[in-house]
Amino acid sequence: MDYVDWTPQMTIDSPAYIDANILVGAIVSTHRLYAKCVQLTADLLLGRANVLISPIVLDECLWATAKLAYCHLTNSPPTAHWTKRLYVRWCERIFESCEGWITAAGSMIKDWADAGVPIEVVPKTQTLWDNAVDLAPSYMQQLRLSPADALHLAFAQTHARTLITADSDFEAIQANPLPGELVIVRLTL
Amino acid sequence: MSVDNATIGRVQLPRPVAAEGVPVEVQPMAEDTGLSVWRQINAILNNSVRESGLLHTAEVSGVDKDAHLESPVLIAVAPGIAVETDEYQKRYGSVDLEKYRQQMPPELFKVFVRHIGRVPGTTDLNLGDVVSTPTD
Repeated sequence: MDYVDWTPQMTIDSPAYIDANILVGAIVSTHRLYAKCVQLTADLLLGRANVLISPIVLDECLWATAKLAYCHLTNSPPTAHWTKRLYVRWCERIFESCEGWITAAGSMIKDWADAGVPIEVVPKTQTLWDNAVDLAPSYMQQLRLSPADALHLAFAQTHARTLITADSDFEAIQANPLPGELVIVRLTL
Repeated sequence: MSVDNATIGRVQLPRPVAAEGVPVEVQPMAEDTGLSVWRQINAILNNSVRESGLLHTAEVSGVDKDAHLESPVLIAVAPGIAVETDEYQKRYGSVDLEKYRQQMPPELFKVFVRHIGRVPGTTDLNLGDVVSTPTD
């Protein structure tokens, strides 16, 4: 595996698995990585790359936008403590006031597909799922990744040539090189 | 009529016509009536129309920041997509829209600009603080 920082107009080998933070980074304005997330997204769409996502990506997008809605409703900073119990308590108000935020990532992906962008959901086959299931625990152990990040990496390793992320946790790969042709492209400030 | 015996009956409203068949035309106010309530109603209607996607704007050859509609000031980003000035700055101010408009097929450009930055963020937002599974 290789690990590189993203630069504008960088060639992104297809298929490319997109981490949730890139999608959230593109639909949420103003933050420090916004312009880069948008530019990277545009490059990806223009490059006609095969875009891969997984149910975990959507899960993380939904949690992220729910938290942003909670922070908005409670006037809390993005670093605010956020738990499933808080979500349950605020769920009704979140959907009353900010339902469009919660559906934003999903509708963006669907609109991209409707506009002709080749998007696929992984895992594609039982065999590839089995391979990812085998890889994820080893990534957790070797790289100290969370289960979700280990699954992102396992899905990317088994289905993609590129993993695009803004998550610094994948930096651990630099100190712990792993076999495989996957290139991890990280978007940084 | 005794209060104890009062009943509330179902109010008979005219049956709505199928929404698809109703021609809707929204025009900016010709002049300021001077009544704040009308200004508020106008703002509500404009917002509703804009959010419903019914607002039709002319195809623009580029990102024309002067392509204002009236009251409130809207900037046409793509056919059918117009935003107020403040929102334009937050969502598109740091994006080279003209380059992407030229490079992307029209339908792709439209869905691209429809979604980017649609959730308002903050300058202190760190993606890692929100893109994570919460604890119990």
